[in-house]
Amino acid sequence: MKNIIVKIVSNASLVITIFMLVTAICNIFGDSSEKIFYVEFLTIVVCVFIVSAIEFGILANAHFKTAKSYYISSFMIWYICIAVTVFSTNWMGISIKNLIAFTILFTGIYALVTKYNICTIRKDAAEINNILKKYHDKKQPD
Amino acid sequence: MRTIIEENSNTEHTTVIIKCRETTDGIRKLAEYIEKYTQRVVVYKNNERFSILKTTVYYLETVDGKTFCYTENSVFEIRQSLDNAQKMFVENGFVRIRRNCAVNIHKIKCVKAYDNHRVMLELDNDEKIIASRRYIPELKEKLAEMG
Repeated sequence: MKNIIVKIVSNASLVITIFMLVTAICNIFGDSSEKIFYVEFLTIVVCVFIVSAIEFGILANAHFKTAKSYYISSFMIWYICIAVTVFSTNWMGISIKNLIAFTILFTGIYALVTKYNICTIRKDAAEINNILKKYHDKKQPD
Repeated sequence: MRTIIEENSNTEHTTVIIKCRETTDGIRKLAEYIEKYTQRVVVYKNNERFSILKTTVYYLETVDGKTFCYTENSVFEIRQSLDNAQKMFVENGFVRIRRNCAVNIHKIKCVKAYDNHRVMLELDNDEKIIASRRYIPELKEKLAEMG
């Protein structure tokens, strides 16, 4: 059941995304009065695509000497892509004050998400270690 | 149950005979285990052909289009794709942990959290390999089945 739901959700998301992309492209090149809205939408899609490709395609397989170097790379990629989205779509006016506010807000959210990820992976590792401990105890009863 | 081992230098093939009143599930499992334990696979090193026990393999990895199998302290080439090799080893407790790597879960000593939502597996020979986040649920499932 879980697998079916996962498949339906992922396929539905893909279909909706393709539909929205086609709509946006048609409106940009067609005779539409809402071109700016669709250009903004496409900017967001492209930024999300780039950041996802780097994070899950490149960083996920890259080998970093330290965890710190990974987090710095990941932070910079997300920061730059989201900054481009926010400032290029005029959601925030370009000013030093706004840039500082954005940096603080982004750093806070990034720290929370990272903390959550670290906790999840530690939990997974602990679960795996528990199973392994049971297995090793069973294998060597003496 | 009594276990008897008869040593004879003239024996050509090692044979295990289970004598019992009837074949129970336990006996069937024991026979399957013995069979799995003695399965061998053909591997190559410097173009020389070897036959090694599947249970001695720690993990399989594809590097530059070639699949290698790693034992406690040796590396052999297995002339198969990783998918085919994993199918051959699936009964021996192999599970995919990265796009290009499958590990023998019986050889995992412990795991540690690693950056980017990955885990580092420490094997019985103290070698460390990284499991990608995508394959962690599968690894947990396989380990749970085993435990």
